[in-house]
Amino acid sequence: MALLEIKDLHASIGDTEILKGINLTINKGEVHAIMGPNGSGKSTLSYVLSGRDGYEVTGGDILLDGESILELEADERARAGMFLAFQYPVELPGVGGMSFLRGAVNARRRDEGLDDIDNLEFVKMVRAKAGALGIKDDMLKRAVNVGFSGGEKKRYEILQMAMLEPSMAILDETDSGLDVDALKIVSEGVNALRGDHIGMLVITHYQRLLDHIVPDHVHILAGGKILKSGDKNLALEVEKTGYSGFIDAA
Amino acid sequence: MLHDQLKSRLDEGQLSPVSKGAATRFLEGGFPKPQEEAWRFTNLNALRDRSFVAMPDANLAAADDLPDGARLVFYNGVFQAHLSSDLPQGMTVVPLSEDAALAARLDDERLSGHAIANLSVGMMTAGLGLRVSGDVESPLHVVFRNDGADTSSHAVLVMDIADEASCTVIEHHHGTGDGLSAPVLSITLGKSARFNHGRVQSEDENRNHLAVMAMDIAEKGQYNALSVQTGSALSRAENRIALKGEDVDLTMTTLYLANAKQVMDVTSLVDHQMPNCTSRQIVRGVLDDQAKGIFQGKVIVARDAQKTDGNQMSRTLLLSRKCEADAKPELEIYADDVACSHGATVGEIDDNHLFYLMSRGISKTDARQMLIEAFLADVLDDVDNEMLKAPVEASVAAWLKALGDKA
Repeated sequence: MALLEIKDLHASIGDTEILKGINLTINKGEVHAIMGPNGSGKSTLSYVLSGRDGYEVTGGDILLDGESILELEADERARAGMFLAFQYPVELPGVGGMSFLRGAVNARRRDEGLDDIDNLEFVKMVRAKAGALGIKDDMLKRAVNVGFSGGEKKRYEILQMAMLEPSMAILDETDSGLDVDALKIVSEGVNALRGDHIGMLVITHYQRLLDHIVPDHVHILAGGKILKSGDKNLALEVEKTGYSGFIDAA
Repeated sequence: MLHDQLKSRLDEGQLSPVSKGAATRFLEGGFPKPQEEAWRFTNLNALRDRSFVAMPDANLAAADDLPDGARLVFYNGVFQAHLSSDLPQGMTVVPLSEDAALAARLDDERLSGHAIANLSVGMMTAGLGLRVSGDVESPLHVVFRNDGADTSSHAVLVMDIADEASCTVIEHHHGTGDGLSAPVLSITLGKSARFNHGRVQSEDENRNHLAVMAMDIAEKGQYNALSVQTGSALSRAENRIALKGEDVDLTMTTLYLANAKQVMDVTSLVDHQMPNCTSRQIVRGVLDDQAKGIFQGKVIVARDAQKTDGNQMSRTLLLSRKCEADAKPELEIYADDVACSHGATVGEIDDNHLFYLMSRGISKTDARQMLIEAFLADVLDDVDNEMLKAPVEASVAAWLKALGDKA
């Protein structure tokens, strides 16, 4: 059974149709990349998959582990294994980082009928995973994303992903706003989480991220549709010809 | 009826001069009318027609849920010596009837010009004086317990905090029934005195609560207040403060949390009369359902009060589209070398914030709670006096829990 199946997905914001029939299947262990120009519907796709309010699915279906998630709220999808690494992580003044991470971990555990995580075990786990991503203790103690640099915010997203152990991770323009060094750290963090237990959808405008997180499959999204699918070489082709070649051909 | 009661008290001729004057003034004017600017947003018409009866002999035999430690207990406005504890060294209480100097403080224009203060001072039966000298480290809890339908309570407490003294006093206002609580506080803070003042108003949802506090602060006095209101159908906490010496430092953090059809009013007057004083007023309101929140903050800076640093900031979080927030921050500045600011914002929970939390598996109810807590934590984190913080945080937590249970 496929991990994620997107079937003829149509979605609108207000009266404007953004996604115009997307088909995509992701299996566990696979990394798919979606590339597309601005306004192609990349971010909309990530929000529709993760259940953000304000987007109306007008046709098609999304199956996670074989079951439709269209009726599930964002939090229910997350607890079912979906994770979205935000393009622009949100600053939450007054929300302590540790209680946020603990709340997220415990929400998932409660759903699975487990007790809340032991506090000491939790702190140990956060420290270990944060250390691997170069996140310092004082950053963990601050309010969520408040006062973080662009690179720190992206690393913090990956830390959350590591803590929540999703089965399906969507990385929305994870490379935006990162310099080369930060991109390397974040990519290493993502690569460390790859494996047979997880599927990933990497959304990006530029090919450079895919040098670091090498995908199994690449799809070109434009005008709300997938115009072409291929292997990692498709990303190199985009780099050479730009998106216009694909759009004109379609 | 309160009018009849006040009249017969006057006629009996037993009232002290202070109460006599106050009673006479209330009988002339009655409850404030909505035409009066100070009461534009908080309408007392419903109270005017009620037949409240004050309970001058109120006596509570026992109570098993009083705070530990030093405490003074009022029941339906009447001081209850048998429920109160011994006081720490440096604190003494005296009936106002035996201390003319303290009683005379109630004649101050900031009380004598206030209808509700006049009502309560006129109705006062066992007003209490509290004198503080030296450094008193352990907190004093002042419990205002009220109950009964159609009853009114008129507690009066006059505090004198001597030069260089310091103390922490926490007021706890609890009550049941649909009566009226109208406590009056008069406080004098001496030179270089330090006063930490906590206040929790968590009366039952049917009560009416109209509190008035007048305070004078002398040179180098430090006043640090943290308060929360969650109770009563109609609630107003009004502070009228005069900075009467140089180098006074004042911080007042006020929270109010309202739901259903509660009306909650925070009104303050901070009168900078002398140079080089600092006042900071921080107000945070959370409104749900059809609640109404009111912030009226006036800062006056006298001609001589150069180098005044005065600011007030009110932020209100609306949890429903049917609630109402009124804000009237006012600056009245007669000096030319001052740094004053004021502001008021009203907003809702940010959808981006909510989605971010939910995308991590946190339920909508929990996410909203976290964001409301964060809205309040933003100011509570700046309060470093744990004695003030603990009861206020407990009150906030209880309100949030009720909100969560409702969802």
